[in-house]
Amino acid sequence: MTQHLTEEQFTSYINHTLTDAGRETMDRHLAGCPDCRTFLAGHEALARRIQYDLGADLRAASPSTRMNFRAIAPRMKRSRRVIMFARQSNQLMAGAVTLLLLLALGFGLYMLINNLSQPLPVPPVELAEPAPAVNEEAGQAEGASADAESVAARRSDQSRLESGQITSQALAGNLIGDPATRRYWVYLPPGYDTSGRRYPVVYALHGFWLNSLQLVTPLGEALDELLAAGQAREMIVVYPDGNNRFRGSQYRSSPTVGDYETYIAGELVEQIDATYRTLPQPESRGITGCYGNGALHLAFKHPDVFSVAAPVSAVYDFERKPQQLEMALASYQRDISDLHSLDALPWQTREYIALAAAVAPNPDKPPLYLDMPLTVVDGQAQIVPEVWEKILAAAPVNEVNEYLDQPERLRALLLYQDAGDVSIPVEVIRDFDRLLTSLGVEHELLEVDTGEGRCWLDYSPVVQFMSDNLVFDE
Amino acid sequence: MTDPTALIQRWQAGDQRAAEALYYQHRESTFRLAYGLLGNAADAEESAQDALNYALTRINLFDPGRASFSTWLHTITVSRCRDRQRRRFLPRLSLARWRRRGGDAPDPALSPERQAEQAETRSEVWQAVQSLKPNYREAIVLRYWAGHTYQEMATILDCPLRTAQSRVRLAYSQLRTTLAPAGYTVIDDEKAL
Repeated sequence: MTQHLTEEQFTSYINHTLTDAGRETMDRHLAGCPDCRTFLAGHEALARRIQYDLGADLRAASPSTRMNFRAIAPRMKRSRRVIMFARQSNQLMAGAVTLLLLLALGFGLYMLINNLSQPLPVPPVELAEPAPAVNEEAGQAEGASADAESVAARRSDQSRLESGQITSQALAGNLIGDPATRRYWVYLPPGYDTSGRRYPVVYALHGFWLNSLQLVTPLGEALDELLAAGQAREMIVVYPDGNNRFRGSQYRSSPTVGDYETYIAGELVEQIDATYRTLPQPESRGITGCYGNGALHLAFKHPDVFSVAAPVSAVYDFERKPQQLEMALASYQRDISDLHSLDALPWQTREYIALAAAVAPNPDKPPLYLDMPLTVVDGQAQIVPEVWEKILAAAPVNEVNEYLDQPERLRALLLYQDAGDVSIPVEVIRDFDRLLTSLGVEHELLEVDTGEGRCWLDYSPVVQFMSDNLVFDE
Repeated sequence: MTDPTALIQRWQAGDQRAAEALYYQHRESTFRLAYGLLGNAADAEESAQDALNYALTRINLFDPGRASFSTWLHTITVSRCRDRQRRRFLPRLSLARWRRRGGDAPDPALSPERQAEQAETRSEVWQAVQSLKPNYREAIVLRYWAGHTYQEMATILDCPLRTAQSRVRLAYSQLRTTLAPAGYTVIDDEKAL
């Protein structure tokens, strides 16, 4: 490959501003250049991040109750009357002018024929008057402003998002100094305010490097749509904050990061049950998550709290994700032990470090308080085997035995996976599916190929699965 | 979103119930567009309300042959937000805020505490988008959030198609500079190796 594509070309490509010929030229280059394909993946990730984060932030914002139709209705009625009046006046004026012209023509002809022998009376022309029909119409509309249709238009959009705050004793005192007070978001279904009923709750966990708003748009929209179509039942969705100094807690517990398992499966569940009209029982609690190892980890560990799990795009086996390890090793050029250097590393490396903070904490090693999974020997980055073993042990493929060692079982488990993601071989997903089958763990596998990479999926199957398997009765 | 054509026709014929239904069909999205452009909930609410008021009272100016209703509404909203941006530089208070100061009960949705809380929970992307200059911010919000085509953007922004495209590219490049060092440097790093 002689010359790589330029930043400008990638920017045009990702924003679809190339001509067909320009795009074809780039496609030909990309087909034969893995470096540029990797580079493009970075652009795609950024473009998705802009789209999803901006969408989530805007979806979380709603106008206040001050912004309503009543506030503009009187102004509108006045303007409307003026417009209708003007329109009718214009029509009448146009009619009158035409009539006058015709009469003038007729008069001319008449005079011509009669040789101006007799004068003619000017015909009476009625000019525009305010049309009574308009006023009647406006009066009618006023009387019927609370019509069922307009109410329905509001109702269709009545699911809403609230935010709340929890101060977690389980997170307090973590060595890395992350806050114990966290914000969460709650989706309340359209009927929540009026029904008086209790609802099942789904906990939706965001992925590494992302935040609690990540799933608000895709999951909320899927739920709204299925509810509107009558294909799902109403449920509450809670979006907790699982972020930390390492850009992702992995929803695990260690002295370094804090006890995220108790924070989510204990404290938050308790607070949500105390705050909202939930069905406070495991049969009515579900858990999902994008890059869903965290969701699967908590489901395997706490089937006594969550009975239905639908992890999305989980990585079932860290050992079989060679591209990430390759990139992490390439980026790790010197041993680091401070937070500032940590921030300069790419996410691939930092995910391993975040995992190490959860599974290989070391209170004697400030300021990161962990055993590093990577080290540099003779200028080459290597994995540190004893830490790496702990990371591998945390993969779902190795956690399933612990799940089987305890007495509780999940009522339903859906593995929802984008098999089109190139960073994890599809065989890993299918092997995990076979492993669960061989161990007698009831589950379903739903494979899709979006070509978009993991997690950027349609969340309807998750909603449907929750709707079909959670218990909706008290 | 359901097709607004029937509602528009009914409102053009004078049925105010249709206007109300149209209003609620577009209330949230108009507010969100304005919020994305202005970054301030109170200003966004006023601009969105102005835009909806204008669109509904001047419904006879809407020509379905030229643009969809939402494109037309977005054109008006962008224009209102530009006015608002310009007025920000003048040392005065908006009428609504003045009224609010004059004793109306404070709206909890817009209280400074609530706004501060909201700002904290906004993503890095949000902060980066808000730091763009206004015409780049318009381009990003219309393209990445509203999903408009470049042709529609050219109509909304009242500029040539190529200008709309180049604004999106420049805005994206700026976002990449702002956001990439924190998150997506891996590819650059790798290429440098």
